[in-house]
Amino acid sequence: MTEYLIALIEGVTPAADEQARLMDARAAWTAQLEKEGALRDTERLRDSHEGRRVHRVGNTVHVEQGPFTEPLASYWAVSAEDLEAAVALAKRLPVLPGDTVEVRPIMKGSHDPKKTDKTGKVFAFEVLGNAPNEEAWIRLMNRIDAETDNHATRDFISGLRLEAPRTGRRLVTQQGRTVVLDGPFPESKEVIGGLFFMRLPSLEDAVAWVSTLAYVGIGATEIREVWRS
Amino acid sequence: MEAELTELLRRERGRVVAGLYRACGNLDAAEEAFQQALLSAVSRWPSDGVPANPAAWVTTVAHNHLKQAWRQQGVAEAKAGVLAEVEVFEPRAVEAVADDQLRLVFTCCHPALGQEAQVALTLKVIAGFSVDELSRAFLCSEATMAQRLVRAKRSIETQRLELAVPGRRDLSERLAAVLAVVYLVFNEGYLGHEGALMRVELQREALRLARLLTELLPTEPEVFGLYALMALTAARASTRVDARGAVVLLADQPRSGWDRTAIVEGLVALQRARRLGGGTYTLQAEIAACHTTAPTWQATPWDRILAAYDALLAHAPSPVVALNRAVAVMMTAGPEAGLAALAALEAPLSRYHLFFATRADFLRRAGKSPRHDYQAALALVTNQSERALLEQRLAELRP
Repeated sequence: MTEYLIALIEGVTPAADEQARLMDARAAWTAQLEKEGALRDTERLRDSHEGRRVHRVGNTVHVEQGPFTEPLASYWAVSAEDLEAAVALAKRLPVLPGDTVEVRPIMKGSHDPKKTDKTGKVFAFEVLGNAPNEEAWIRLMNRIDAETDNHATRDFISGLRLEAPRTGRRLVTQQGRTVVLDGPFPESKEVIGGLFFMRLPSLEDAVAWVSTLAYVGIGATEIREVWRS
Repeated sequence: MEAELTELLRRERGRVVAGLYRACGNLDAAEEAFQQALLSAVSRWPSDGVPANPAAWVTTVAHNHLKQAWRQQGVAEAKAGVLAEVEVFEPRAVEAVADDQLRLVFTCCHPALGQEAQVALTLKVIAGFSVDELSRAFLCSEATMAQRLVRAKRSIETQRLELAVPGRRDLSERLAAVLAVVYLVFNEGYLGHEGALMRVELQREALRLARLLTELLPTEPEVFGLYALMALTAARASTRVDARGAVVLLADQPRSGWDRTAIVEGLVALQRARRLGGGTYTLQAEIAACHTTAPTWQATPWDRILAAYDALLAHAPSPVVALNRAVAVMMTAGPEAGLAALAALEAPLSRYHLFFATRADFLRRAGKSPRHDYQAALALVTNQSERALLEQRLAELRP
């Protein structure tokens, strides 16, 4: 069994009734995953306009305020036999036309499904990067791994690292049909390489913490508060 | 810059004041030190720039003011232990910060204070409302409000009201008092007897307080139920009156004007409240969700609303809830069934204008004369726009 990240990237904000229906349908899908023993972890992130992106150019740290294009809305970490089985699970996730679902193998990491049961704000840190080729991508992510390992503190909850983008799949719904595309290639834009969680008093604390990391040299870190859902 | 500053300080206020309160054990001193730190921020940030962690900056400066005040009063030695503790600002663990904030909330809403004082103190100390703002919001003189606050603070000092966060055993009872205060603040903002000046501020503050509680007590279902109820209700706030200030009934409100962000906020909180096993606030949020997510008035799921009211009545019987349930009965089974559901409620609700307004509406739909009931409602109503609506309905009746 391998673990996979099913990431939902929402395209449009639906009307209120559709929103309610969709939330109920996704809750039912999540409950089904849990029943089947496939669910490892899931969260919904607060809207990206509340988020921040931190990246470094030379010695200057840049902090960009959301909204961001193609923001991660929710994710499910699941275990499945292989990539095809994970894609089959992802196909059952209720989506709207315009939504995108990414399925990415998880290289290593830990889960804490009860991360929002403790006090304080919980923040998700998306490690974004791009590299000209796979070797460069892996070198970049190795560096990030080492950096974040050194910085792990009492506030650290859990985190995971994804395999290279090439190994994933992308599901797009067009005219009622779901099309499965090959993994996103890092040349085009910044792609998520990892995801970790920390419990901190405020967004300012989260930005301050990320700003101390040396790795932000080539990629960026997107900080998003985890919704208590 | 200035608006940004105000917003930031309002957001951080509770956290900083809570820490100061823990350090000195005196609400007045904590508030004073915070005010001093604000003044420093306002004079220095515009030229120095906003610090990377504004809350930490304000905390450090406020603690320094606290120390200075003690030194001037010659109490430095007596509080040496506390002084040492706040000598250097260190980022504190999330739990410690949360504990400080909970302690402050539970103190302001202490059952020994009485609800009026709880509300005033919460808004003053945690939300940073001025005495003037509070007196306008609660329609009393500034002197009365100031007196109320002084008395409440004195009670805390003299009765040595427990500074600790209540233990698991007392938590639900004490939490009920806190939630009641938050909901009261919200309703004051939502319904307000007259004057719209402070309403939006009160509503926003109630939501902010509830959101803070969801962070401090993330496994308490009713905290999420109340937050969901308020967010789903607030989502409709802007369409409740028209441009001239006249009441617009739910059936006639333009649904496209409802606040989508607030709706999602409410639905997500409701999802968690359900999962944790909510109570009366959660059931009320279910009803609010039915109304707020129906695409049209005609599509309102009255059967689900009726079921939620039945559950609510079983949970906490109340004539006002029974009155609302009667509306759901009328919408699912017709005006005669609605009137039957109202029959037992006249005695307990004989002073409540909405009982008569509701029965008048049912009578009108049943083809009977509602005149007497409209008149009874008019004799009891206090809100100007509701009065105007009743007068209009009465005038529409054939002589």
